[in-house]
Amino acid sequence: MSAKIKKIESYLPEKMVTNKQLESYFQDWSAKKIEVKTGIRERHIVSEGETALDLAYQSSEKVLDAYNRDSIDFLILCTQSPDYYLPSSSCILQDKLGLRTNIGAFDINLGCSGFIYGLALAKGLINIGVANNVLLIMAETYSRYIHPKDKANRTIFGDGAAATIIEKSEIDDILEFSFGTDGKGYDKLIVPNGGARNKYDPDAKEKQDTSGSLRTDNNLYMDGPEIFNFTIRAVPKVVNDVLKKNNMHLKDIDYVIFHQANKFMNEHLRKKIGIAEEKFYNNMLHTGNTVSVTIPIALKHCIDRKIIEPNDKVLLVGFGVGYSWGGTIINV
Amino acid sequence: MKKTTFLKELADALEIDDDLAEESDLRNFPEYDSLGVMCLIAYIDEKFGINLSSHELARITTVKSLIKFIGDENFD
Repeated sequence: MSAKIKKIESYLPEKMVTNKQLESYFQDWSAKKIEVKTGIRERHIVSEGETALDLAYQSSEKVLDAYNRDSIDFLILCTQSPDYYLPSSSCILQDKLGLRTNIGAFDINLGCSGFIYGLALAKGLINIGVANNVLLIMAETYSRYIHPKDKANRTIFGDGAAATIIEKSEIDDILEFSFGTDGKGYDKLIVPNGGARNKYDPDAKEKQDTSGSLRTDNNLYMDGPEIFNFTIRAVPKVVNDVLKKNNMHLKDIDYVIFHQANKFMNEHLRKKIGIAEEKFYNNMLHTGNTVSVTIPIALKHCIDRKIIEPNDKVLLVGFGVGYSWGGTIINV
Repeated sequence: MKKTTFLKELADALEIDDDLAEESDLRNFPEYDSLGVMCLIAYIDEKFGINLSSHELARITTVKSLIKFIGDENFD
């Protein structure tokens, strides 16, 4: 059995936060500098009462348009912002989408590496004969975790969702994978409170970091320098490993899409690994870092604009929160 | 690398218009914010292949302290 990506659609919430708005809110923050350094001009943010599941639903409806939804026999939802601790949001989504009830569905809790892991799971389910048509959704709303006065994280992250249909195919269009995990970095991108380890604390104290950003332990915390160091260590290695496992060299790759974490950081990685500029996607201008959604958004953008053509070999690499990372090569 | 070259390249990397000296305290420059720190990490990795951890960054004050961290043996 082999698998291929059949279709991708994305959905971004309507509400936007621009750099100009952040500049007016944070005194020493420059809209121009944010754009130059991060590559972000605006980001979409969920409104009150809007959740990752809502975004997942919208992106799924788009991808299921003109598609026989009764043929979907497995649903995988990747989110770190589920509607409830239980039940799985994927169960709720199955019902909302009117999919068959004799199908499988589960959530996976991953961030920036989520799409790579999701592709591997979808391919695996198809390979063992359990599924023929997998609906894989990435949906994220980090904005819900970020403190209103955390200028650093409010600048970087955006919300969004992307739904991908992966089908059984004659030809293997999703090739070999490489994965990595290092839990030593668990606390470098974390929402400390609200889970089983530390309860939500209504009296949590606000703390200010060296950049002047405020947050409590109920909010998202990211150690930017450590994340950058982690990517410098891990990403070149996973690129080499993916190429090796697929018996390829960088010159055999037509295009490269990394998780769109930060334009500056990704440009540094590009140069370090030796990827040609014209073969490298680096664009988060209108979305910010949408975590697990960045890769499918980028892939769709490239396919729609014919930046990637049929039969192109595309290297995909996701890396971040966990620490978790992974890579693969797909034939478009 | 010559220290004079390093001082110039470091200023360029951090987009600091002033001339840097070994005694310059990086924390006094508004350019050395969270985005500036990213630039420093990238520059040190590119030129010296060295990772600057958060812990080590917290101890960087003057350019001299940065040179000491990188190691005098890396400079002419």
